[in-house]
Amino acid sequence: MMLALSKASLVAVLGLQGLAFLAFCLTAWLRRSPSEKLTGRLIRGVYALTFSSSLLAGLSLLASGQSAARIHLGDLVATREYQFNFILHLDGLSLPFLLLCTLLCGVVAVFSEKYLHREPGFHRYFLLLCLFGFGDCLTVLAGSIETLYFAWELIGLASALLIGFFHERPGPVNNGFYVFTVYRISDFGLMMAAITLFSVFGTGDFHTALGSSLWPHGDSNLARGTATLVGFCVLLAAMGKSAQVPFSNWLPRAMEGPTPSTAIFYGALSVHAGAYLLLRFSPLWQDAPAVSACIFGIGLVTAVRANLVGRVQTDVKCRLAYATLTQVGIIFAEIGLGFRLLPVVHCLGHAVLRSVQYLRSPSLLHEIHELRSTLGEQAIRRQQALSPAHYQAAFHGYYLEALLQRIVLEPLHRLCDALTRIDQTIVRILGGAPRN
Amino acid sequence: MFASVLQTLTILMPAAASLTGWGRTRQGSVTVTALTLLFAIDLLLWGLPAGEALVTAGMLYLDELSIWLLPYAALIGCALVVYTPRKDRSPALTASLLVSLSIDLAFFSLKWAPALAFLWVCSHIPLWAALPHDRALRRILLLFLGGGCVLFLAGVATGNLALLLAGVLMRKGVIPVHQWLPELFAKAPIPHVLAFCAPQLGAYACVRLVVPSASPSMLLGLGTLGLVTSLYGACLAFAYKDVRRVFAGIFMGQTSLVFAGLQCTSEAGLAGGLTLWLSGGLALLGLGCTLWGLETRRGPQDLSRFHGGFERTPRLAAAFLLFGLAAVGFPGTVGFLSEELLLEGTIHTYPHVGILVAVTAAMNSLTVMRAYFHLFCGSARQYLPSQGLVFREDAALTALLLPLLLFGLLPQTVISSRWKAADTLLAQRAAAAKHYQVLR
Repeated sequence: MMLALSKASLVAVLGLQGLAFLAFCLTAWLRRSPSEKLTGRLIRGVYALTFSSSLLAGLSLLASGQSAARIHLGDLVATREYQFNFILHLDGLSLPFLLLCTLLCGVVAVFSEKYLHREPGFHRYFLLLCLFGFGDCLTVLAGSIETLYFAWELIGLASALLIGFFHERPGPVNNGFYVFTVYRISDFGLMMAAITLFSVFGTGDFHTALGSSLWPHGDSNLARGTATLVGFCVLLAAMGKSAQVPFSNWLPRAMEGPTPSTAIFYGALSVHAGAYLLLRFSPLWQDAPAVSACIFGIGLVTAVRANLVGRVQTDVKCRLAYATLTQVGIIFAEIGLGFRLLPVVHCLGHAVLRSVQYLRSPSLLHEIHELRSTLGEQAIRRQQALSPAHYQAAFHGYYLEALLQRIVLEPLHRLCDALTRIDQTIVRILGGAPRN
Repeated sequence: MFASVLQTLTILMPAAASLTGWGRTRQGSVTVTALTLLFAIDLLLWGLPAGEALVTAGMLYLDELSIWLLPYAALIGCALVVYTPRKDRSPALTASLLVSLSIDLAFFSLKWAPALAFLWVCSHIPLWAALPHDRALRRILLLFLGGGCVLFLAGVATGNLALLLAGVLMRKGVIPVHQWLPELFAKAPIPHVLAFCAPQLGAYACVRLVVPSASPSMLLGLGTLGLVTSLYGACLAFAYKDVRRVFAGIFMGQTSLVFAGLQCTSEAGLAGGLTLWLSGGLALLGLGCTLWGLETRRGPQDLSRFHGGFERTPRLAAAFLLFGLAAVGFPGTVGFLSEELLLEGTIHTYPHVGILVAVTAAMNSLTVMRAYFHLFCGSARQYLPSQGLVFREDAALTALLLPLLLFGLLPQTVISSRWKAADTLLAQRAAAAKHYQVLR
């Protein structure tokens, strides 16, 4: 009975956000967008119910005496050889992340109602918020890799569009595109992991691939080589989503979006999605020590770099972004070292703290001015200055972006340009057009 | 009997209407294409529960493969007729679209090679008649498409599969004979280009005439060419600035993935390729229509700067993004599952090069987002009044979006049907492979 209640609550968590998203889409397409007041009521109602449902799901799971609940929502497609299963899985890992997601989405939705009052993209913002909320909840509840991949892509799209929310300025739009590019690399990694699991097991069900023992225990049923291959694919996906080196530059760029969405996505949910992914695949790491070492190394490098670069930032949101990166890097290092519960606690605490800091960042300047006028300059503690050379390197993010530009983007652009030139030369010759 | 009469009526009605004055009016053409679509859907609903070879009356043939292609072609024709802006509308254009529709429907209803060859040649006429007076373009098209026709006819006449396949490859714009495609997209009128390219007659000819009797090595070559072309198209789209050429690159990249599916040895890959034919075709048609609408409002566009104007055309922007994402297989659209199936099939067949499907999809999705941001975001240089969608645009885009989203959420029907078609094709291929083994 209790287990059934828990399952029904999970369906409600996703269904409510999905329906809200569809309702926003439909009203926008039919040019019948509701008033701000009605939108606010709807969104508050949806997230109040969503959070209550997720709480109920957790409580009823505890009351049932079970440690995990699985729901087979149905097959999107089922043929003789191929099944695309929608499986939800609630356990000790997904429950805290689900509660975090629904709570923060709700808080930020209420905050945004005032923050974006009379903004031209008011409805667009809530439409994307619902899409993101749906995607994030589905990510943490996913019980199969195909479900996870489905949700993973939705998060990426919603994020890119929210960063480019103020679309009349080129800056946010360019940054939105940059983030989307990194997310596509991340999606590629997850897709490769999914295809590898499919080719080994014929299914992407985590129970089959990662063992049916309760998280954080469990033994992967993969051979060592395959586990390493899948591990690296998952790591690529996690690095992209959590802005680890060399993809770190997207996080400061994401600060161009509206502050509430920045708080929830890049301070809390989206940036920790990579860490969640690594934790979900944790049974794999004991069979893939090379991947574990890489996770630790990448996390450590990200944390150190972010800490140094963060020191020379002059903008509060950028500074917070690098502080976020430092913590997420440390979380990665913890996962690489084999901790399981510590990173979960670290993620949750960090997400809540950082969200509050982001939400308060617009009023921080006023507070600093007030402090200065009351207590004088000594009220603001200054950090130790870096040496000029060190400062310059840190200011340029240790040339990471320039390096990526030089070794990846420029050759790719040159190759594509060369192909178009070859084509145009052939066309000119065959078409008999003059050289100029 | 009823089905063959209905099928005949579906094929002939648009062509007959194009001969009458009423058929060339807006009201007449919309009515005729809507009826054609209705009949084609009726055939689909009638035929889905039945077994194989649903209609075999005379030359007409309808089986699991073609049963979805009739409503697909009818929807393309109907959407183009309805979407045509007032300023582009003319009796000649309407007649051309109606004739193209009839040719497409007839092509998808036949499997007799000489009849297909005749229609193959005929399908070029409406496009050729509408080409601008650009000598270079005409020369290139004559070389590639004319050459393709000659090869196809020679292949049918001699029964030589290699010639037939070469003709098909030229028509599909597969590497290394693809150069005409970006030129055509850049210089010819959009409706004619879409009516010519979106149905993908080349894929049908390939499935009907080449795949059942091709040797495994020929199929391997076909699939490899498809994969390389898809990546090449994605690279071109990535580099171009002219929106029409960008669209051509995406079109080339996504449609040639169908060939990548045809060489798969697993049902999943083959079914994925066949589904991608439908989903990619409709999504790319929708993308083309939104570009057409944008050009009608603002003139030629490029991606060298931000054009702005989202607030003036929010639904056009949304439609552009939705169609673009549907074309590259984003979740929630039918393209998502077809790409999943295709990727699984190609990696199963070729573990090392199958990955190109994922690379192509990723690159094309970046191009779609880049195009969306450049075309609709940024601040507009001049003030223009609201340019929202008018009713006919609304109707056409909604009609194209509905199947993409509906079958994205409930794809079982379409995937099962494509799976059965893939089964039949695999059986034919197995027989051909045995034949080649005996010969060896």
